[in-house]
This record gives sequence, C-alpha cells and structure tokens, in this order.
Amino acid sequence: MESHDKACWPYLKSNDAKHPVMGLLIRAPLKTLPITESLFRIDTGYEGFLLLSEERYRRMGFHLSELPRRCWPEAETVTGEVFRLRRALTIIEIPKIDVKLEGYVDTFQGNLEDLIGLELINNLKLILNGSSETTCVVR
Amino acid sequence: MIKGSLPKEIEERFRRKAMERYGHSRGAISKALEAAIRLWLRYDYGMTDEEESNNKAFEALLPELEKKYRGMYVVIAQGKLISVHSSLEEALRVEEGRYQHRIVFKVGEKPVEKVRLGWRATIRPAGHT
Repeated sequence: MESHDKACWPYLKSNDAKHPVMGLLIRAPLKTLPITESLFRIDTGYEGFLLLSEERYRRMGFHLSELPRRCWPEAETVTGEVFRLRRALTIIEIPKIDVKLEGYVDTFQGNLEDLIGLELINNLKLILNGSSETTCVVR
Repeated sequence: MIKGSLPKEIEERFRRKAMERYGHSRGAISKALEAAIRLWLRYDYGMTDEEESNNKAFEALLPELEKKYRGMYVVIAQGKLISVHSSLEEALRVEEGRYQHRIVFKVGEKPVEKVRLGWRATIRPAGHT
C-alpha cells in the first residue's frame, strides 16, 4: 500500500542479482530536460550523496554549474586507485512523499554507474525489506 | 616518442614495479609507462577559459565572501560575482542557460577531501594487465 507517509520501490534485477533502488527527481541546471522520476541503485559503499554516470552528468548540464575546483574531492576505489571527482550542488526530490533534500552530484572520467550513497540515505528513514524485495522510505 | 628523466629513486621504484607487474619482458617498461600516463590523464580534468576565469574569481573573492556571506549560496560567472542567495533553489535558478559555465557554492562549507567509492563504482583498467 502506498500513502503520502511512505514510498516504496521493488528491487531491480540486474545481472541475476536484485538491488535495492529508490526513485528520485534530480534538479538539473538544464531545465529543458523532462523532469521524471528515475530509479537509482543504493550503494552503502559509496560515501557521497549521488553519483551519476559521466554521460548523465553532462546531459543534465551539471558541468555548466559546478562547485569550485578546490571543492572537488579525491575518490578512492576499492582497488586503491585515486582520482579527482567533479562535483555540483543539486536538489533531489522524492515526490511520492514530498521529500526534498539539498546535496550534490559526483561523477568521474569513465564512470558508468548511477548510485545513491551513504550521505543521501543518512537523511532518510529507509527500510530494506529483503523478503518482500522492496525499498521503502518513511516520512 | 616521449623522452624525459626521473629522479633515480623514482626510476628504480618504477622499474621494479614494472617488472613485478609485467615480468622481465622487453615491453614491460613501456606497458607500465602507458598505464601510469593513462592514470595521470584520468586523475584530473581540462579547464575551459570560462571555468578558469570563474575559479580564479572564486579564489580572489573567497576572503570577502567568507566575511560577508557565510552560509549563503553564491553564483560566480563570467569571472565575477553574479548573485548571492539565501537558498540553493534560488541560486540554481539564477540566469539559467545564460552562461557557458558558472560556479554555485555555499560559503563556509568545508570541502571533503576524499570519498570512498565502494565496490560498484569501478573504472576501466588503466592499461594492459
């Protein structure tokens, strides 16, 4: 059941595994794009707010409205590679429960993943229900 | 063909690492060099003239902004301060589409130095393995 106090999404199947996802609206600098809810995988291993693929970051125009370079952090992969992230401020929304959060989007050269990170979910009451394969955010 | 020189200590470490990784074959050093350069090229980004001028303006304006507008959202474009806002929503809306590049930031926000990416976010290998 869906109410204004709770928003749920079924896990997304990819490569024979099921992943918890959430639907977000991202406020992009280019408003000409249609604003529709997109599903993003939740990854507690990523410490940031929201990671976008390089292509999506550009397509949404974040490269036109970024933080100063000195505020772009270094990123470290699990295999120990270190490189620079690009970072831009944004506002994300979960329209189903009328939640709006200020945060930022990251990307890096060669990135193909869109991921929700720890900093975003630390703002939410999140229920990962593995047996029913749903992710819910409670207001 | 690129030629250059390295401090002896770095050269020795580099040769040792290249042999460990690619064996004692003839092409080991070239392979390691290519992988190192690919990594270096990926480490940072090029900068357009407008980005450079906005970032220079940011550095020059920062002390004044820290004094006057702590906690506010600031927009810098065309190498100058464009506007100051109390909300991010307003700052993101400003002069939309008018500039090639702009800087939007919150004055006084401490930058994070390093972010761990986790298992999902991986990058393509930097060279032959």
